[in-house]
Amino acid sequence: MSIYDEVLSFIRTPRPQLFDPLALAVFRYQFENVPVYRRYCLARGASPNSVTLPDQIPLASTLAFKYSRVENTADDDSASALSFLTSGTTKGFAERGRHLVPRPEIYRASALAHLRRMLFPDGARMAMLALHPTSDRMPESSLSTMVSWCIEEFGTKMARCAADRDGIDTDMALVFLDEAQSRDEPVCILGTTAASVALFETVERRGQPLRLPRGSRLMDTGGAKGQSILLTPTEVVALANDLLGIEPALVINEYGMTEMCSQLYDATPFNSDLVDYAGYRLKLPPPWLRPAILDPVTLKPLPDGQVGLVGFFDLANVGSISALMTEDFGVLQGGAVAILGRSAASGARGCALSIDQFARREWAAQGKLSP
Amino acid sequence: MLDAHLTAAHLSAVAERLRSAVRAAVPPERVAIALGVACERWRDRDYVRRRETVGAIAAAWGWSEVLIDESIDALMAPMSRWALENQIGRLPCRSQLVGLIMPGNVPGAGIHEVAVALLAGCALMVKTAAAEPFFLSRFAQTLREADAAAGARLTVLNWNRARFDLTASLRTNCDWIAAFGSDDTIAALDFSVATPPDGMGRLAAAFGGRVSGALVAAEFALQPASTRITEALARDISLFEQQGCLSPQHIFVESADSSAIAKFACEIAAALERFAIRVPPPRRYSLEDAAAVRRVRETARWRALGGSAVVLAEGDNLGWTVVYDHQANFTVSPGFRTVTVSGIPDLADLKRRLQPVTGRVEAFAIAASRERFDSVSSILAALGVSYVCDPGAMQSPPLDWSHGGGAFRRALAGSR
Repeated sequence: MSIYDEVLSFIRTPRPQLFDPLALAVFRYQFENVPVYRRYCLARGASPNSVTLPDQIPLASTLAFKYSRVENTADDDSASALSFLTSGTTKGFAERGRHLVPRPEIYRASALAHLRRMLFPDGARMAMLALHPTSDRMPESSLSTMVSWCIEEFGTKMARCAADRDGIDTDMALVFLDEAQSRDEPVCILGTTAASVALFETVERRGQPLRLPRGSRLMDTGGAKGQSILLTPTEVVALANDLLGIEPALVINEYGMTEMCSQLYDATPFNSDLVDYAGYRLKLPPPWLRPAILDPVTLKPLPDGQVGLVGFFDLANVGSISALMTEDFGVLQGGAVAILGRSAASGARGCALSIDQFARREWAAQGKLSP
Repeated sequence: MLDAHLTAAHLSAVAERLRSAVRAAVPPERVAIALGVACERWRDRDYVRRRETVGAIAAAWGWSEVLIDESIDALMAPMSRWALENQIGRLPCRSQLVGLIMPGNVPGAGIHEVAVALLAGCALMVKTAAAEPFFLSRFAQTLREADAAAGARLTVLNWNRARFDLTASLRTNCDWIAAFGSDDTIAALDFSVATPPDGMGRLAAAFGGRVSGALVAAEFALQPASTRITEALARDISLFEQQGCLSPQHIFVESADSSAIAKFACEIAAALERFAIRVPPPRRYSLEDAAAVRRVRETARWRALGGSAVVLAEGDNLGWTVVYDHQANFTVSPGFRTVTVSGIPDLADLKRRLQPVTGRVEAFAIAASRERFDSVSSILAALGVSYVCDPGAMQSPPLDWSHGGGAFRRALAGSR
């Protein structure tokens, strides 16, 4: 059985006791087949000979995908391989990260299995409204691919994509939602948090809130990843309820990234018994994704309840790098994660110019919005 | 130290006392002597108020006491009685009440402005930052002990920036004010507290965020004597944990030989390591600060692994970080001993590399022969750099330093 088959088998039938040995096998495979990761590990003094526990596997910054070519010499030229680019919207510079996924079927299995658990635990199929371009319109976007898979797997014939590269057609989205309301057919809305905000604004301008049929739901993503969104997650939930009539428990934020084939979703009474953590919804990973919180100074794992940088070991990333360190702050609580936001480029610096101020100047000079 | 009980009426009463103190005849020579005595005490590491201050900052910020001591030594070094007296004839005679809003990024920031304003005959009402309420309040005590009449012209208070009523009262009661801090702080101040209609309390000098750098000329970069330069630059970088506007963040080395510049970067790294052994880095960092340094490191690490001409050298934990990036334009550092080293083929290229921070460069250390030092100084002065010095002297600007381009001195000269 190949390492891919082993991972696929784990995703289909998770057995927690097999996570550790499989993680070590995945590490060994990546060390051997992803040259840039091997060089990184060797520089950190780590190799399959020295690593005996998953905690010892070196976590690579997600910046690896932006600044180096994360290639799998054994598999990147497979006919089915997909290549995804990071959005670049939060960085402000031309460089975009690239994630080569040699076996998209593993990505698909991971994405759909956890979507089923977190967004469709009731087994429903329903009308689908995409507020993000689908994969035919933006093939380089991992979110687009996920949205398309979600529509295929959980949608009915009533599906519409109200977005393209140029933006969101909120009028088209409203027509679709009005139709769903009048046909009393529940609808699932998929898109970024920014797109949801645009939809809220359009409904507000119209002055006539929707009351979408019971069971309708919203999956938004990206709210805590440095985008210029003025709404808190709590406000998104409240507005989705006030303006669209979606129950709060069915407004579910996704935490994912181009660099990772697995995602986490808000735990709500709709999909979990977990309760919120200090006002933050906990995000639940699938069994093949193990989160960790790292001390940014030492990079050592922190215990539950302590704030640090969020890291993961994602078995579904078997074709590239599984051990990842993000730039987001979070807290671990019983295997779930509260995402507290993205680390800024450093805060106020008194009389010294901060990186953040500098970046804003640069952006202003380039005629762009602030990062 | 934050006085939650302060009221606008209290500030008015303080202002009245300060105006009385200004009216009292205290010649500038006496102020210079008093300041000289106070500074002399603060140069003594065993001085009790200094020890209290160092201990308080170390506890609050997590910096090592040795680092704070070295930093205060550097800050106070130019504040000799001779230097203070030497300023008297160069300053206008003013008898005004000036408000100062201080930054919180480094202890003692603004001491130059305090000294020259007092020497000019002004009284000062100082609002310290919530993060650094330690240094100036204790320095004011020392000044009062040295000379009650001179000390009566300086009052240091601390309130939260959200207390707009108090900041408005500061403006109403003072003839003019000067504000130090980040761009956001200055903008918020101007936005939230309007200048009173009678022109009192106008914001006459504002110091936003600034950066500093260093240049190592060809004749110094590749010689065995460069060790002296790297040691001095390591000290400049490390003092105040690189949080101030005088801390070098980018070192440009004049050479076409990239391997020699990379070697120089390694020598900077070695010097930072030696300095860190003697003067330890912080015991703790804020999450944001740590993540910012981590980001610099991971970016450099993966650029290097990705084949870019970048070399990363790093100390234990986040102790110090050197990024050799041959072609980089001026790169703003997150602080905490994080520096970029680049090569430039000639001085003309320096101007291009500084373009991203045009109008924002405060100081430059120059390691060059005397002749070239002067020509580089001229180039940097034309770019608005207010202080140039030899490596090792960056944190010790003289009393006549034109901080931020000299806005404070201009305000002092222009005020009536």
